[in-house]
Amino acid sequence: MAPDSGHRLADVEDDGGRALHERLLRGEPTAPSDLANLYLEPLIGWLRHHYPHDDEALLDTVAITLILKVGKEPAQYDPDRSTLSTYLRMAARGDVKNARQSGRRRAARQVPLENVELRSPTRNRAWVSAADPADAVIGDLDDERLTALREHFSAQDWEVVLLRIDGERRTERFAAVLGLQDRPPDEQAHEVNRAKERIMGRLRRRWKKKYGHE
Amino acid sequence: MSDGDLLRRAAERASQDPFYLASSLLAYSRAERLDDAGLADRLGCDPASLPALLLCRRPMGDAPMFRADIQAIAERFGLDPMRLVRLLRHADALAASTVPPAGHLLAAARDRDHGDQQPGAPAADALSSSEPDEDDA
Repeated sequence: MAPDSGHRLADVEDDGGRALHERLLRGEPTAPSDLANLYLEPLIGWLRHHYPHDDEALLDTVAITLILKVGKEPAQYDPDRSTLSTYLRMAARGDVKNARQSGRRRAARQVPLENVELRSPTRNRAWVSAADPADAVIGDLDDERLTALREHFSAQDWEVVLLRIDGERRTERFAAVLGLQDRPPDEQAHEVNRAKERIMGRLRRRWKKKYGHE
Repeated sequence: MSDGDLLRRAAERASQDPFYLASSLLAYSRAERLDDAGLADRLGCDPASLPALLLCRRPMGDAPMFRADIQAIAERFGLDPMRLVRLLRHADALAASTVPPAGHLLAAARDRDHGDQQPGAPAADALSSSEPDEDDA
């Protein structure tokens, strides 16, 4: 499938969230419960995996708050743009950032000035491994500004962006999104790398064009 | 933490939002001093499925929609629909009886703004007097 073929994301991959989302929109009374039952635990698992240095209680609260919010206001999710799992992770990531910033603001008001230097290494900790230089760029991305660039990407390419932001490393996950599952492993790896370079390159260029810096 | 514990925590949080069934049922269980097993017993449901039940949307709307909501929830969780309706009605009645009327709140706010002793208001010791009030006479 060509990257810009216009196919909806659901044609590429659906985690079952589309049907559940439709039930939520219809106002089925059991749908919010099913949302929590199916997505809360995996979301908390993902958050704890990606934010091992953050307070688990904070991560749990972020996940619970988000699940309850989506259960009540499902229209905020667009199934044509990403799977429900991806949307929840993206939204939770932003909420964790906001929660951290709120925590820092509180701490800044409470901690004596002489202790500020002790907090610096924590404040500057990257949210993902710095093994891949692109991660440093991704770690600095602001979610709202990133979402504003969504229109410049096909659903398929945007899913690749979101996977990269999620810290996904597995070639097979990218291959599935790109429709390359049936290719030989070597070819998959080659094509996935090419696609990632192309898409992340476009993201950097669009970011620079819109916001003036990479 | 097990999946059930996570859902139970989510239900506790959902009890703060009238959108969720937890807002009615947990308010009811608190008023009746029931633990989860006691609440599940009153509802006639499996205690293990109580957190998921609490995370349903609260039945609402006109009579046909309310009935459909009750039916859908009852079918999913194997409940007696009439039992669920009775318990929700009871929860609503309890909630109504514990929320003071707006006028009362405004009066209380005025009391705080202007001091406890209002012109014409009975003094605290007068309320504890053995003399009967006019209404009691």
